[in-house]
Amino acid sequence: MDNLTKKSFYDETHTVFGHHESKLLQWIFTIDHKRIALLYLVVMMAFFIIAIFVALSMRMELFAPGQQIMDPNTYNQAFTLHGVIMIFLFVIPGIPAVFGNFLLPLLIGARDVSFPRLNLLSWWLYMFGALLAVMSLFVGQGFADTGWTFYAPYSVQTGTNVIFALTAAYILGLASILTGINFVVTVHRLRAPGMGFFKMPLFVWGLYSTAWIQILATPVVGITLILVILERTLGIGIFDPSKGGDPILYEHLFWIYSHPAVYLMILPAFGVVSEILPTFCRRTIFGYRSIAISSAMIAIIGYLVWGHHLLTSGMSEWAKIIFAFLTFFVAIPTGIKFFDWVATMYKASIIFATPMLWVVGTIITFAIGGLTGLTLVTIGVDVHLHDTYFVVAHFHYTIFGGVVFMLFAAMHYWFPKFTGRMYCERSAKKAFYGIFIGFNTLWFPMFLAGAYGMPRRYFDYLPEFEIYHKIAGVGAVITIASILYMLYILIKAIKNGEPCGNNPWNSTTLEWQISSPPPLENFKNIPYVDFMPYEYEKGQPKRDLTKIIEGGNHD
Amino acid sequence: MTETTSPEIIYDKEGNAHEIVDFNDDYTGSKLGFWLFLFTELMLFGAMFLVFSFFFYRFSNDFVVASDNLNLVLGGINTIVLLLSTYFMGISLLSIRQNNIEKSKKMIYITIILSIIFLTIKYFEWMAEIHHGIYPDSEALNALSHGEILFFGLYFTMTGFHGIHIIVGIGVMLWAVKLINNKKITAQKYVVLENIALYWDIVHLVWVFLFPLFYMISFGGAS
Amino acid sequence: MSTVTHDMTAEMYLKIFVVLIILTVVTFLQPYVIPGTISDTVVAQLFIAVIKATLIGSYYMHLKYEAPLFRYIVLMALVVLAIFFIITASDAIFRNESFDLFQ
Repeated sequence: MDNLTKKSFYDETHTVFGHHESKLLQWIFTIDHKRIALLYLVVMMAFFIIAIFVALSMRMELFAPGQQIMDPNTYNQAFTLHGVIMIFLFVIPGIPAVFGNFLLPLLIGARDVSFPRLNLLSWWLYMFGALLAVMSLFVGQGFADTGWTFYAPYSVQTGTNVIFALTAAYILGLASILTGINFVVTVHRLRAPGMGFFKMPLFVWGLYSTAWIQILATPVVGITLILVILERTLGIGIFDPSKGGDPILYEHLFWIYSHPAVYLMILPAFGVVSEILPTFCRRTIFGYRSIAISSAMIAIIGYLVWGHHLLTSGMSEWAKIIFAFLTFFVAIPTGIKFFDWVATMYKASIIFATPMLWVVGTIITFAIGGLTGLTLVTIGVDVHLHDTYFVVAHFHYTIFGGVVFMLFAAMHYWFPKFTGRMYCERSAKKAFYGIFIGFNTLWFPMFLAGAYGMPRRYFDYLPEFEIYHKIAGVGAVITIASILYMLYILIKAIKNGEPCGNNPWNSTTLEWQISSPPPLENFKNIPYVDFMPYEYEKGQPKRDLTKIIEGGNHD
Repeated sequence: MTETTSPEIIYDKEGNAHEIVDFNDDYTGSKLGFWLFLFTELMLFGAMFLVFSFFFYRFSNDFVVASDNLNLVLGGINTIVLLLSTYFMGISLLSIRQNNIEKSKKMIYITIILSIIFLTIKYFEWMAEIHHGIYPDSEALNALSHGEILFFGLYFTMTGFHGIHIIVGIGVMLWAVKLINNKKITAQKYVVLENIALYWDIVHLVWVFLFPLFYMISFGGAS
Repeated sequence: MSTVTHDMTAEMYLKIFVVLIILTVVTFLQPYVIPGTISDTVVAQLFIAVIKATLIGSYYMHLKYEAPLFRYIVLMALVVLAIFFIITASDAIFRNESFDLFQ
């Protein structure tokens, strides 16, 4: 059966304003969740590439002590730009915007999300916020130079385009909230008949937990950013000590969102791991229930730990102890996931296709990232390590080594589903090794540099740190080159890849039971789901639903 | 509840029928989605109340002194006005479900008029402060104590946000009347009006907490 | 598909409205009936406000008659908000106190 001649969602679509002749309008006014996912993917990858080149320029500047290619103020704008793009335009939309949008309805047996037009609005808001952020580069004193964290009082006083950046972040937050609302309602209302919460695929659990964080945490940063705008324009005084205001209160409000935000980033990534592992270990996941519940626990406990970003800010001692304790506590559900994953791999017949390589890579890098987080949250140790390169290494190991690695894994795993073709495995594996080696070369030295005292966000440094920066610089070049190579392989395969069938990985979940690429309405007949998502028997899927979905609806 | 398209039915192994939810016509889903949106409003105003509580704890006496500047009578009238408006909004929803279209629209118009009264009174309250030279970053305000500066900063910010929500509410209610006229909201499909009523209740709820915290604390301290 | 029974009637709307008016009057009378420190006033006022909010939520916003899911998620949102208040309070209240546990 040749999927490439069957009608797919690329050939026809629903749009919000009625019919259009132009292909472009059919894309940007689409309300099909699969097309919206691809719209996000294209724009997000473009911003990702821009942000890594900004980072490269920073690494080049820091290659030796003293000024190389930019002055100190520009350097401040560079790391702010890198952070704002990576956080607000890439990682927070991230896996949910692309793979959540594409796969959530497929994984639960639905034809679309609950609010397709709201979904499109989310994308348009994302574009609008992105546009504002880009515009602020070219007007006035240029992009904000406060760091992506916009700490008061500097963010209130600096002359750079802070209001632009804050407004952009606010609008992007709105997009995130609307996606969260869409996903929660979709999971509650549109699961296929028979699919209880504890029969949902684990990626859906991850997306569901994430969506709650998007709804409850994002408004807090929204109002915080608006309050900074009001401080700048009206001089209200809440963050201004000369009027009785409190900068530490800003930090509280900012991190009340931004800490849950990192769980927003990692929970879908953990969900991707749980999808990929059963397929390439040819067996069901170990501890389904505990992984599912741990997603919810991470989301809940994640609301309680924000103060570990304020351990050296002047907060009260009691608050520090509470936050440090809770942060140690939140490591437990994460640890449960890791043990369950390793148990799934134990004595399994593992197929080391590229997605599996990425998963193994993440288990290593995220474990390092997560454990170094515990190092940081030990209050006494944090006095030395706060605002050093140790923190920079920690969050890149977790965010890049956890979230982005899994984004790459998902891009490979679901590539055949999106395009109906396979990429070149050999080249993809080479790209993985290049990125993995480059990644560790780039960021591992930073743990050492930070422990020895190299401060972060510094334009210049003492000669004793030069060796670390030089190694990191080499690592940066290797990483970026390998990322570009990986993207090249995938893009090439869109046109030239080997055509594949519905289910090239021979996996059990619902998205693999329909054609690649999927048809517009996803399922001809929605199946009744009264089974667990990852059931294999002797290395083969226990059941074949293709007949039910494409043909009649009796067994 | 009448449906315009026939529902999709699937069968399980025992032959039991199950209906697939049509996301284009999902009353519970629409209401659930709107409640989730209301949570974002709860968090938005909740964060502002957090800021207020933080500084109220720190500058309790200054806040009480500053609160004395506000006009209890006007604030009280506004409280009654807003409460009345939610009552009429509720009756509007009841009326549409009983297919009493004209009454439903009339109730919405009364709600809008009451909202405009609320905004007008608020406008006069603001003007009173501004005429005394009390507005964010004014010389008169900056000369006062820290607690008083923050009280008025928060007063303008929070009542300002509340006012914006009322203005948006008026716009949305006018749109609802249009939808009723175009038969997009009917006795069978009224979830949009129900959600608007929920929105209006949240706006009222915010005021239920704003009023005592800004106006009534002026009674604080030994009398 | 969902069988929603609407139990709010015009009489109920009016009854709850009257109760809320009475509570508003109580709000005004409270400082005269229970004169006290700032904390007393704030506690009393918030207590009345919470009762009002519960009535508005249960009846006007229909939570009493909704599926349990709605009540659970409202509770969850309120708990999250309460957590933000409680933990921030641990900073606000103890900000300048030194911690002498290991003295």
